[in-house]
Amino acid sequence: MIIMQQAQSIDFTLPVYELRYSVREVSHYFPANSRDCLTVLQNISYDVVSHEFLAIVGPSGCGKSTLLNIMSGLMKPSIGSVMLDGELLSGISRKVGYVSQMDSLLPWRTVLDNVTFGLEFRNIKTKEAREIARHLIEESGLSGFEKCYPHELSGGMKKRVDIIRVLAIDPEVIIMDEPFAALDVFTRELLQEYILGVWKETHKTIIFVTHDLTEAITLADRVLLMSAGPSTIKSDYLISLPRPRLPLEIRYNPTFIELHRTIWKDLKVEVELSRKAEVEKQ
Amino acid sequence: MALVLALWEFLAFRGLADPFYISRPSSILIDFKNLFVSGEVWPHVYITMQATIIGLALGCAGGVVTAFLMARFRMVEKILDPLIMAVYGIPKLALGPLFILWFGLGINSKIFLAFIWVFFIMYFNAYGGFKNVEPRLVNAAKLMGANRLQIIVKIILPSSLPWLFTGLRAGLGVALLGAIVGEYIGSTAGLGHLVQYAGNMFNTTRVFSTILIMSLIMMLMNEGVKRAEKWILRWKPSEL
Repeated sequence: MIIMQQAQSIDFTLPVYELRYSVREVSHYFPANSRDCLTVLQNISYDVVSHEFLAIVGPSGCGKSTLLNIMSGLMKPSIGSVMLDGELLSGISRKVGYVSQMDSLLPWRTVLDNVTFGLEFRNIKTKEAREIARHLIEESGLSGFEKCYPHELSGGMKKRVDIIRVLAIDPEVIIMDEPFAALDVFTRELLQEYILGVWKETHKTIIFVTHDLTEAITLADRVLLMSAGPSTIKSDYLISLPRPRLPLEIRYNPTFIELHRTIWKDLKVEVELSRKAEVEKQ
Repeated sequence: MALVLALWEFLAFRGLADPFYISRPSSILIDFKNLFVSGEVWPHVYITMQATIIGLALGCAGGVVTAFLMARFRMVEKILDPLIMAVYGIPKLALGPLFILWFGLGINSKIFLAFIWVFFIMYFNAYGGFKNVEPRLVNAAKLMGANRLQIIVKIILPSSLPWLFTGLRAGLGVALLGAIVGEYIGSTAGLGHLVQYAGNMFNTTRVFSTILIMSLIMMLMNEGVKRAEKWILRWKPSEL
């Protein structure tokens, strides 16, 4: 069942949308033992357009991370294909940046050297790379921390560095796998605001996986709901909330509340299903 | 420490314990000074250090390279693992006479004894380091577009450095040990030879002063590596 809600207002100030990702009939299996396979994803299809902020929600263990690994080119789907900008994705693409749940900063590098990390694989001179990194560090409000090592930063600051490290390589798509899940509520809200700002300024395509429905609705143009494993795309909601959005205020908007209720009802069924499956496993 | 020395001196001075067996701190210090003043000790120190450092370097290099190949290629691991474990099981000391038979009484057999001890220590540490590289760091580098060589140089090596330093520090001790034991078994010079010779002559004082030299050398090397480690691993959160 696919529910499509019409967008109430279309923001004409945005550039023309074009098809960016096209996920077609993707299924994925993991070998469970010598005979059986564990089906993680089943027949998943959806499109992502440029400059879109897409959130993917689903019960835990539903294969969201597998889907992201496939979209980033780290993994190949067992069946089906992923097209990125009209080309078949066959490995890691330079158009894609990836932010994971755990920060993956290199502990032996300073903030500055962490931000230039991705540029080292792109034949950019050290001086120029540092220029880019310094600019991004300043913009993200981390000035003065250039020479700090990751262990000297707070969780929220590390996440910011993680994000600007990806911004430094200037990808067209940023894939984020539950990026704020490990942070406390206040830090998470600040970072939601930050990522909305980044998105507004750079107009990159963002694919954002989360298990926090409020976060998904706050940020995204569209929320995809994944079912309990083997996962399919159960529903596809358009989030027709006005922008710019303030994370702390938008949640009192009646449309927000209505959307939250509808999607939560839908999601709850899946969460219960996945709980039941887990209990049966044990 | 001072108390022990004072007690030792007192017992020996009063004849409560026979200085023939335990010597006296004051005589040891005088002998220690004489060894340096006469310059007699330098060739011995030089010979032992030469074997120690060459053995250490070879052992570290061999251990790291083997560990790297084993951690990276399953085939190599399957072939080499039983072999390494078999050799590891042999008490290395038992190999000493063989080495002397193969390499003669010169520096080579000492180097080999030091090497084989260092090799295993370094191998186990380095292997642990290579196997414990965070997969998310490797993935992050891959997603940024790093190729295999870049992943090795920029992720695997730096993240294994703390393990390699642990191996180096432990290796330092056994390298010196290997060289000295090699000299015990058979040699004509070196600190091990000095101890052995003094022991045969019942010169307890000389035995102690040579031991003092060995322990000073060890402390110096250890301190040097510790400082290098502290500087190179300055990115690590200091443990409380």
